[in-house]
Amino acid sequence: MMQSERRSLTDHERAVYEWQMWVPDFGEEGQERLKASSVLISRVGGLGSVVAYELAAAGIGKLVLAHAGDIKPSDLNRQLLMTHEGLGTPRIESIGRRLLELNPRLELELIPENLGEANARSLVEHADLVVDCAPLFEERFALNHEIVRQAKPMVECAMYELQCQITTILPGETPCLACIYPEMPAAWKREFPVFGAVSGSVGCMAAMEAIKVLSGFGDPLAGRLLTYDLRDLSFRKLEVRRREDCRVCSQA
Amino acid sequence: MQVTIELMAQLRTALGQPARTLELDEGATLRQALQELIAAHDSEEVNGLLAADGGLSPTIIASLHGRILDPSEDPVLSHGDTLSLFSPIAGG
Repeated sequence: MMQSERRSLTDHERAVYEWQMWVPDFGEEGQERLKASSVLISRVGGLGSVVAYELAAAGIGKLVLAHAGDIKPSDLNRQLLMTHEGLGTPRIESIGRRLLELNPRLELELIPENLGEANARSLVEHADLVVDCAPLFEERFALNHEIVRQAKPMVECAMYELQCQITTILPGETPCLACIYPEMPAAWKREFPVFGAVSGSVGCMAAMEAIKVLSGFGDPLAGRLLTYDLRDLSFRKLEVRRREDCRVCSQA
Repeated sequence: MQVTIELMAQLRTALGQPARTLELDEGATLRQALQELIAAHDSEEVNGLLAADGGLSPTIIASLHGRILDPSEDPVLSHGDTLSLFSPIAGG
């Protein structure tokens, strides 16, 4: 499993992260690896807000955050880094402000645009790991292509109504997004029913997957797709196979 | 024989129910099960389960016995099987 470099902790950081450093196979070494790590989150909305907040709380060294547009009322049921006071102002400003309130030691790279083919390469270059929270499959496929090319891990998460999916892609080891969807879905509807508690649930899992991969402990969802439905709290892990003719990862 | 089709995401919304039990002939395959479902529910989402070549649409996740199927597969189903169909979902 990949492990990041290490950066030593200050006494204040040891105090802040004491409770999670008690996790036996994480410890101070895991915390040092987290401090030395950077994560790109593509769109910091319902899913990405929670991923970013949990990673900031856990002591990630740097977040690269890409999200365009201004805060709308319909963001506020799930995009937990947006505030009522910020309605009509750039989302990325609210995101940066809220994260630094929680963790002033956090290094932030705030990109006021969404990820696409034009900027995917440079943004992925700025991070050790990617979390894909984008609503459009054009963005998700651009990101998938780039993480495979740069051989960087990506946590892939999605939601609809009370249902969620999450998997962790380790290029060269696991299937990629194009193995799961050999063709880009055309029928996806941009706006859909969902609760903030649903996006929050999978956002927390995605943050934990990122922490595990970067720190080198635990058993990430490599080659498995976790699907669950909070309507009846049913969970299952499905085996995903790598496609030998995958147009993205078979040629990498 | 009876086979249960479990529906997720927009497919569930389109059919208005989380699952549908089909009566199929012994030896029926996944594609035949989907043809039965399409015949019973005429909607854009359900019609999109099969690709133009008659196989499983490459934008649908189908799982059987805990494994995601490749669109080229057409496994023979057995009485009591549950086939799960997930239409694509993303973030937001």
